[in-house]
Amino acid sequence: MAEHKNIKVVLNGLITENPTFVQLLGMCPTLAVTTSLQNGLGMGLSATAVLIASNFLISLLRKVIPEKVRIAAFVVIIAAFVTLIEMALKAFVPDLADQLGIFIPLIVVNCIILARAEAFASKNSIGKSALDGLGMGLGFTCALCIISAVREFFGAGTIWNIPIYGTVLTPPAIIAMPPGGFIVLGLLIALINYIVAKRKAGADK
Amino acid sequence: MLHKSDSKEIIKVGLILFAITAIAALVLALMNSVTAPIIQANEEEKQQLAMQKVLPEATSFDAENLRTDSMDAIVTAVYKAENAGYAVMVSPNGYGGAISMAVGVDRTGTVTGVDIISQSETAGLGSNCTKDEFKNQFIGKTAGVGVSKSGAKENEIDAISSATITSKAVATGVNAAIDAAEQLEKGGN
Amino acid sequence: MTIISILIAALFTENFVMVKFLGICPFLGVSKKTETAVGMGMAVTFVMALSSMITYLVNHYLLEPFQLEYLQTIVFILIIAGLVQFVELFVKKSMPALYNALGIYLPLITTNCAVLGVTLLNVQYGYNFLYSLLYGTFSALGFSLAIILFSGVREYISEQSVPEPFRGFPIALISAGLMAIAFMGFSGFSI
Repeated sequence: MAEHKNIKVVLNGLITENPTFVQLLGMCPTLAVTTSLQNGLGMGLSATAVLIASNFLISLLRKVIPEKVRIAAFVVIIAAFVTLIEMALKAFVPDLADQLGIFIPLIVVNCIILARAEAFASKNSIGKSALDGLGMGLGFTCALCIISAVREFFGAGTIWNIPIYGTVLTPPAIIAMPPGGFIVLGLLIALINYIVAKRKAGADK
Repeated sequence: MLHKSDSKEIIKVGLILFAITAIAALVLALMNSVTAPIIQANEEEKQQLAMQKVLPEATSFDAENLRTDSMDAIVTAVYKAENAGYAVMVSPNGYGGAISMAVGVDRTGTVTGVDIISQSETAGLGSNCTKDEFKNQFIGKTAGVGVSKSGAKENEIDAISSATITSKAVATGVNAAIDAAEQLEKGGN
Repeated sequence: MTIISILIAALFTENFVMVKFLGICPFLGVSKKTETAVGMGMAVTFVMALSSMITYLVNHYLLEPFQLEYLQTIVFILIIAGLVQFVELFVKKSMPALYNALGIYLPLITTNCAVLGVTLLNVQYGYNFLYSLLYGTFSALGFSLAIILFSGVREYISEQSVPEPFRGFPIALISAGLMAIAFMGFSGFSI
């Protein structure tokens, strides 16, 4: 039973309350770094690591942190973890760190992380909070991977830097540029709305 | 008006927040002492490799940075190689921020090679500036390299398709590098 | 780069919202009405100009001399959070009219990544005090321009009949995409 519940916490973040497609949180990195699958995955995993760590620590300290300054305390904790990740990326995967650039430190103001700290970790047990971080993080990562795979495929004609059709046709570069980010995300959310509405209609019958 | 219990409360809250911040700063300082040398070593190694690549004839480089204030602001460092020319580090602004690159210039002011050390251009478009087909176009060019969108002419290079800003940025960097090398060459040895 | 080209870049060619993807959350969240968009734009401009100045001073006179650059992110976000709180109190006491107009947007600004973004970019680009201030102010004006224009578009869309799956965010995102294409036209300026 307990195990079942844990899986539910993870799935909740991954699908039911997907931070990107359902809650529309953390839009800046979602649009900015999803020009290639590698970048999307790198950003998603970095944010996931911060989410798990910050949810864990905030849950651990939830009885120590005074109510009045909790947001400030959360921000300090999150910023510390983000800086740790930034240092690690720069030291061990410098190319990815270059590509993600300023969006690594900006994980601090990614609304997903503060929202989960406030809405979940400050009210739930340590284990559950870490799982929530994992679920939300994976949900964010999956969303970024889908968007970036679509943009890389149509915008550059490659997937994971492996050429697919770019040599035969010239890919429409606009998809990889900023306007493409907005439009691809809009179309993907519309598609999800459509599928959800279809399934609901099917269930009603 | 503040009651005694209020001010006590404020002090307590302040102390807890201060403790959290202090611990965070301490952890970061520790991590920094571990990663900072690795990051620096990575960068130096990358720069050394790039310098060797753009000036293949060089056997060794002088350690001294010959950059002067009369050079373009995007030139970050210039190293001389005995009898082979100069390796110039430049960082022009591209579409997604600074492009850090090395340019090899021989003693006649001709480009011997270009290498991109780090860039954050749009993946699949501007990021193609790291490909050899693009970079090697600069070899043999002299001062005033131009960028063409439709078939390069004398002393011009073909822009990366859909990434004119990136291509121009790289060309700007190369031109600044040639200028820097020529200044040093004219200045006498 | 000359001052003029920095300013034009901040306003148009490298517009924070349309090109750099900073400040997307408020751009999508508070753009349903032109009135609120103007309020948000003003509040953000005020905070971005102030935080550009203060973070420059702190970075230049405190962090750099002691080689504490690795604390930038944590220090900057604390400065911004504190600043927003201070501005809120100050405006509430001394300019109640302005507070009534901007009040509800101020707390949202702490997590607006355009603010933290501009302070980090000022450092990355190596701008001095004046350039930091100007870049902060004009980037914020660029943000305001984008959000105000976009709110006009959304007010118009809200009166149209949009296919079911596209209602709400999808159509807003697609219109933002079309606006971004228009902003790409400005890139001619820098060439």
